[in-house]
Amino acid sequence: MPLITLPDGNTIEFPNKVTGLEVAEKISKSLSKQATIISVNEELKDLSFVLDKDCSVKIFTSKDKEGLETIRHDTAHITAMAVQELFPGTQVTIGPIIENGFYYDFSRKEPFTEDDLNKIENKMKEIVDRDVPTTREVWKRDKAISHFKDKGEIYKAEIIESIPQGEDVSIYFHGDWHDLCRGPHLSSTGKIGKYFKLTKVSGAYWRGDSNNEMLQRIYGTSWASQKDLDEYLKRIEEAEKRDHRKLGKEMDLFHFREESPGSVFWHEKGWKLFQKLVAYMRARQEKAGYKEVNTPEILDRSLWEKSGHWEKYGEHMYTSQTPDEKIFAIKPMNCPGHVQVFNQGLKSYRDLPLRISEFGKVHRYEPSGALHGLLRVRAFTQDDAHIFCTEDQITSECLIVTNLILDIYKDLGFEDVILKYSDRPDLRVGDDNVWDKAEKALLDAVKASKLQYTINKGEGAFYGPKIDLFYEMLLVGIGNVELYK
Amino acid sequence: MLHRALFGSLERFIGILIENYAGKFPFWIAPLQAVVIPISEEFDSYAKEVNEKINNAGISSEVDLKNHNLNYKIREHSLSKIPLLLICGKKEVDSNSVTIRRLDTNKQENMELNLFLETFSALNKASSN
Repeated sequence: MPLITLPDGNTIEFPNKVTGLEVAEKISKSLSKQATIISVNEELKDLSFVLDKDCSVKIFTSKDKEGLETIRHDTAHITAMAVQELFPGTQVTIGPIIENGFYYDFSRKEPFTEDDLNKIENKMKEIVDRDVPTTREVWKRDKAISHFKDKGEIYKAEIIESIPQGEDVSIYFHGDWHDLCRGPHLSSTGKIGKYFKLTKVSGAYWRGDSNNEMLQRIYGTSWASQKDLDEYLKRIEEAEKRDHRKLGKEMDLFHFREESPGSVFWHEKGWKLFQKLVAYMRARQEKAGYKEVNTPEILDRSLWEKSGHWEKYGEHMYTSQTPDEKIFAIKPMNCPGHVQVFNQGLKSYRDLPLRISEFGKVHRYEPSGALHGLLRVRAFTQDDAHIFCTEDQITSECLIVTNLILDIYKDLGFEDVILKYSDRPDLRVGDDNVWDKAEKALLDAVKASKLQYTINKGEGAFYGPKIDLFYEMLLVGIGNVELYK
Repeated sequence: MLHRALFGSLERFIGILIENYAGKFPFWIAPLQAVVIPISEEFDSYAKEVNEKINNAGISSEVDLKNHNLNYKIREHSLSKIPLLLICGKKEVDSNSVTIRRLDTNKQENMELNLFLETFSALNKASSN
């Protein structure tokens, strides 16, 4: 006699074991119609899952993240199902969900065309109309391996081979078509709805390794209603029109090359834009009492060891060995250079605050997969400044800086800016009492700015707390203010 | 010591600027602010003269003397998101003026050249300056 506890704390007792769907029916007819999956003691399960012991459950509909993700996961399955019905001999590999949709990687000699995507989409709609029930079977690992090998699905067999010996695997059937899958899934293909679209095809290496075979990845999106789908497609279309990579080409501003990933080749007009911004900022900084300097791009390893970058930031640094066997690093930040200038120039505490600025070209290694046009590069120009001041001056300097930044953003048309304050991370340098003071000084400035702000625990830099300025409309971070000891 | 970056990375900030404005920058930021287009070869020398005056006034401008028709040129420069196209023909030569066609509008507006230079030089800076 299982006693089922619902999220609101209410309980229902059943005389015999029941399925998730039966629990939903007991709660309400409409819930049972909208139900997608169920969680049993926080574990996601199919609605057909049998409850024979006391447990707490939650029923998910397409309005929940979990429910929508299941719809997307099922859509990925029927994409593969449709592909194999239309193009026999195509092998399936993996088909995970991603933000706003899913993809499925296939092994097939001939490339999928735009026209093929339409055909696949139509076949998928047909599969939804067929309303094929979903069933789940648990197989011995070895049985699953030999089954998929016999079917000629070598990739699936390889995936199962990487599962530890002795573990069972679950296989989901949509009619005859079946796939190795952890689940959970919707109870039938009819539950998916037809609010999906296959968006594009691209290449992808098996297991993400460029030594392996190139597969074809079909991307798709899937939603709970036609309205959601239409809105999403409209958003994508709008974003594509604004895509800076596309506009950069149309407007003849810049390009990228494989020989130098993440480094910009500026064309005449792009470089003019760049120089205009520099000139504008130079004028603003001069008025605000900054002194512009320029420091070397390549500095000896010992300096980076001293600054802590070598240890904490080494994986992002480019290094070079010279014929005299010295190791140099290309600067990923301008700070250590500015400290050298400061040490040369400071005569007395009366010189403080000292504001040093530089348009410094820095290089930071990023994995090639993380690069994205101008938004994520390996070589870039920091409009960097360091303000050397006494402890008492921190809050006021911080506020002056924040106001200057906001004023400049306003000139450039960015008005809805919010602040994101981040404090000490786990991986850090310096004493905790120094951090205490630093955090207080910065947070005081944040509060004094009267702007909307969020507090992000543990997300500061390894050398100090920071404020990031966030532009609400595009949901992107722009400038920042960080504090060093 | 405080560290601050206005834009973090100028490269990235330009990417954000492009997406924010969908390439249609405010006049003072646009890298190429105007293109002068003569409606036929006959007006090339006037167009060149106008272009020189505009550049001398600190507005970045080019003259398009290519052998394409006016509609083609308008389409091409609109795709490049040039804020102002300045069309020059007989009427403009006679009245020492330009006909302004702003990005994304079909309306045209004739303006005496000196007034044009005065008006747009004033717009050619950040509002806080």
